[in-house]
Amino acid sequence: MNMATLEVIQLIKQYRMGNLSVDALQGVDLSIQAEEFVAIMGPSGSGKSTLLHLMGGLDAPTSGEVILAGKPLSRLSDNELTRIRRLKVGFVFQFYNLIPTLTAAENIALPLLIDGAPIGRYRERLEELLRLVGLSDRAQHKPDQLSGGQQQRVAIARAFINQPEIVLADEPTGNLDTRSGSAILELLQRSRAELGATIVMVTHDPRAASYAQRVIFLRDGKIAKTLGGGETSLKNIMAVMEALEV
Amino acid sequence: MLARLPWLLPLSLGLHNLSNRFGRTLLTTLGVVLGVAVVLAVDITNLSTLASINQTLERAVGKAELLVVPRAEEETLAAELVEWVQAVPGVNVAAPDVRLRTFLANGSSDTPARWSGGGVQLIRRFELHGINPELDPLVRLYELESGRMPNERGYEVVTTQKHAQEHNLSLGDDLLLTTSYGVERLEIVGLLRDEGVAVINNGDVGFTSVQVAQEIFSLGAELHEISVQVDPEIASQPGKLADLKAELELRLGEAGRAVYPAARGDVVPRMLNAYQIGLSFFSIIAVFVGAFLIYNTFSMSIAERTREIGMYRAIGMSRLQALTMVLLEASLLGLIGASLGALAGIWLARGLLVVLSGFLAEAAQQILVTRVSLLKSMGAGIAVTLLSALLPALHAANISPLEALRVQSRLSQRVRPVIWLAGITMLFTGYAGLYYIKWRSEVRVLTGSTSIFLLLFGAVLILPLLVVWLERTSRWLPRVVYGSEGALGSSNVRRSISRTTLTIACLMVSLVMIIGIGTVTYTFEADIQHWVNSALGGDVFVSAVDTLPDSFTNQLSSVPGVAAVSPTRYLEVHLASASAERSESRRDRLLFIAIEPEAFRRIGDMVFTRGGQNPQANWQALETDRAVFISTVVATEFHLQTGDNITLLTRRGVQDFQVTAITTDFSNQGYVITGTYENLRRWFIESGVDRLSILTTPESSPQTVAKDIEIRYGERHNLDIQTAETLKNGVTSVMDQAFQLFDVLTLVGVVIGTLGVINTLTMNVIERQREIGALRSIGMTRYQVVRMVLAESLAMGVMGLIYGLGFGYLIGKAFVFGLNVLSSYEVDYLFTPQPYLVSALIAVGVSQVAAIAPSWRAARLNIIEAIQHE
Repeated sequence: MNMATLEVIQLIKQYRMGNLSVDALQGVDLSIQAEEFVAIMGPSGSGKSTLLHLMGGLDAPTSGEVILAGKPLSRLSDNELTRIRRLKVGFVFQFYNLIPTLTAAENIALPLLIDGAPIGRYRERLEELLRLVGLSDRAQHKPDQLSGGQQQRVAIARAFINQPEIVLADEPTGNLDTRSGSAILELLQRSRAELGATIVMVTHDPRAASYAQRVIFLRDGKIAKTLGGGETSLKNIMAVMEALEV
Repeated sequence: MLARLPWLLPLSLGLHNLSNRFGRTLLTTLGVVLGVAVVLAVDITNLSTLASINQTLERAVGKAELLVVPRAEEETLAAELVEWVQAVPGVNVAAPDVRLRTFLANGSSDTPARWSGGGVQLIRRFELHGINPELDPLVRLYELESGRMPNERGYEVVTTQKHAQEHNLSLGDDLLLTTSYGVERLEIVGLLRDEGVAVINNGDVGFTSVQVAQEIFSLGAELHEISVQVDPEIASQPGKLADLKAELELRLGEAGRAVYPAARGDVVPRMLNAYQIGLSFFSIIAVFVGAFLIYNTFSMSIAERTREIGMYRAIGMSRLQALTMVLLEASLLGLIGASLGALAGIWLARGLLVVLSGFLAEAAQQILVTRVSLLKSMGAGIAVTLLSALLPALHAANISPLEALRVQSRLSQRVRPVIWLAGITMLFTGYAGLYYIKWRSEVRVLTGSTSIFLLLFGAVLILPLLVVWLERTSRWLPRVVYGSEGALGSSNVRRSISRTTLTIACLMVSLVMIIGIGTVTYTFEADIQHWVNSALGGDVFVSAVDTLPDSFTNQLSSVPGVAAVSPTRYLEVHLASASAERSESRRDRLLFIAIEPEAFRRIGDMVFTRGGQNPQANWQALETDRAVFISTVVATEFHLQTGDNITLLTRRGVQDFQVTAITTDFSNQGYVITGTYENLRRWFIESGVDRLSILTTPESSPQTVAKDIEIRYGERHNLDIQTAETLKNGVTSVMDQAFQLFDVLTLVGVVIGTLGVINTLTMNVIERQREIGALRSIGMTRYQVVRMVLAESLAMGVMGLIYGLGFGYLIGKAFVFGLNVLSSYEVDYLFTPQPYLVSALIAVGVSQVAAIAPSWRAARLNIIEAIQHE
């Protein structure tokens, strides 16, 4: 059995909205294995994005723990967390968040640039990623010269440049048409297979979730249902959604 | 309610926005405050100084409507004239006045020299007036703080409280005055408040009876002036007063002439002329800078809200309502900013006047804030705010709601040809207006200032064309300093050309002020220094209270350690009417400086200009009969050049003197002609020595020689003896003090640059929150975010610096050229690296200091909120 890349233990997150206290997560336990592709689904306000942010060390839980690559995130300083994000986590956002003044290749290499690593040493990996995402001929294009799908492919390549332990994708197809969305999902699947990556994806879209090996359904801050072991067909997902009124 | 009052909705939304975006509101208000303050302060300073001078003269001359003065400055009036004048119908009071300048024997001032608005006053003297203690208070204002007026026959004096405090004197003490016959003691019987006559000679003044003044200075029964107070009925009617003046002139004949009191006031405002011009120039820049700052802050504030305005439009707000909302906000901000700016302007003017009072003989007594000044500056502030808001508000109101909602708020990236074409046109027009078009003298200040304004505005409008080039040229520095974050930061400046343009323009204007002021200051200082070193050659300078006989030159030559002595005689001469009419200033008095050319050249030299650069030939020409050198100021004012004649009133009638060379001379505000002693004796029937320059032998020290002269002749002839070192240090120190005024304006420039950068960076950080959030989420530390924003600011600083240096050079030259044209001085443009180095430090410093708050803000962004930010 593969080792757990990420473990979530009794995770609770409460927000204050004025005088109100909102329970975003109410004791979530979860374990993500290496090279696993997990989708997290749920209605708006179910806590799926909160869970993703906590997994990536972008936010701190009210209680509970996230253990990433053997390290409990709650005990790390801001700088240590930043370093974890830089080297162990890859992020893919719904709105790509590319730097408009940098080329596609430079955007992909951005985490290396931030790390102060010599880009030359990673040239081969950069070319490999450009080839994987199908943008070898667009390497010197700026984001505004690329389509939405192409920009998201650049963002995916950026997430993989540091060979992270885990890639966290927040609605990666949410801003794309169906065709581009499918291409991105296929790319994520291929990346996992070719690069041996672990992927956790938050989505509303059952079609997107069907690309995952495991689908976790959240409702009111708790895991309501998990589909895995070949059960992640579109039909099964739709059925669970209907049952849970997601 | 809202339906009935449709303007209430925009007003309430506008107010809501102002309070919600408090930081930005504060920044925008600060822009308006600063703009209005600078404009008002310069205006107040100008007005207050002039008003103060007029007031001083009015108070000094008091209620006298006319003055009777001698025909020539060197002459005096006969005492009997008082009775003659008194007997003229319509004259109420005729008060005599004897006026003498001397040194005090009980402690002289620490300041040997004083800068007086374009001229150098080398020695600070005490002015003693001999008056009729009963009549004079009827024509002039005496405000006694303590004591009484002097008796007619008593050796008594009234002086100012200010003077007494400076010299630790009080009632009952003796004032020791140096006269040609030794030291005279006058008992202080009264102290005057700083009003009325007490402001004469900046307080270094005393009043005794006419008889005592005449006795101690051996004047016999001679007077210098008679103040005439006329019937109120005549005084109130200019025509009748002119008739009375003519009547007096007629009766006086050769014995004297009647003048209006203002005639005496011609000199001081003239002294201030150079400063007035300088301040007017900077006032124009101040308007530009203030307007610019307001536009910068306001346009960004609107750009930031394009999306919000789009939302209002989407839910049904009309274009007019959107426009009204922004304009109401602008009006409110403009009103608050202009009101605070007016207060700040008065405060700033107070500071400027304190600086001015340090070097003006007649310090400003009070701050004069006129309604016109207030309305002008506040109106300009509000109008600029509204205009600044109008352009972006029109843009925001005109874009479709969908577009406004979809796009990130951003200024236009497009550089419209109409803008840069207008910029190029302005540059050419400004350049031509300054250098090629000959304007009439009365419009020169206006056209010169407008030309500078056009040059600055043109430079701003063509800037968008150069931004990409500037970024390429300067990007290496942020990369070297901040590494990979530097590369990211510097590339950000290309993202909004308009915004970067505004910031660079702000910095550019700020640097142009620094370089322009620095260049003018350095050029003036260098020229004055050059003149001081040449014309004031020699090691020791001796000045006499009274003109000494010619033989004194030989006496000094025999003092051990003296190698050569050059005598000088100062004589005020009158221009004959023909020359005076050619003058634009209608000034008719000049200072004739008589020298012995051979002795003069052994010690110093003249600074020749305007083609007369063959000193040998010039000196030879001066030896001929009725030959003179004239200063550049005289040449310009009277349209004279080498070879022309200048017509002077001499004791032998009206005579033409040939101009053989033109010199640079800063004494007597430049109204100077230089001739030989031979001409002085022949045509003005005068001789004697007022001042001597001494060259010491190489083996003796100037201090020893000065001391020796002091011992031998100091007390006997009441001499003021100074070494060249003391004198030149005095000149340097007063010059430094004089130019402090412009340092204040430089500081304003720096504040403006800083505000511009803060504004832009804050906007950039606000606009790029999501991007910064993404960078943080993929592993950028807070420290790296700070470095990235600092690098972005540094890139803008360097771009502003490159542009500012280039344009500052051109504007510096234009300033010197403009001042030459306007002030009649002829100073050569001199390059000095100092203001450029200061600019470089300021540009880099400002860019980094201004970036601290925005970079901190960026580093503290909550990552999740930032990545969800739209």
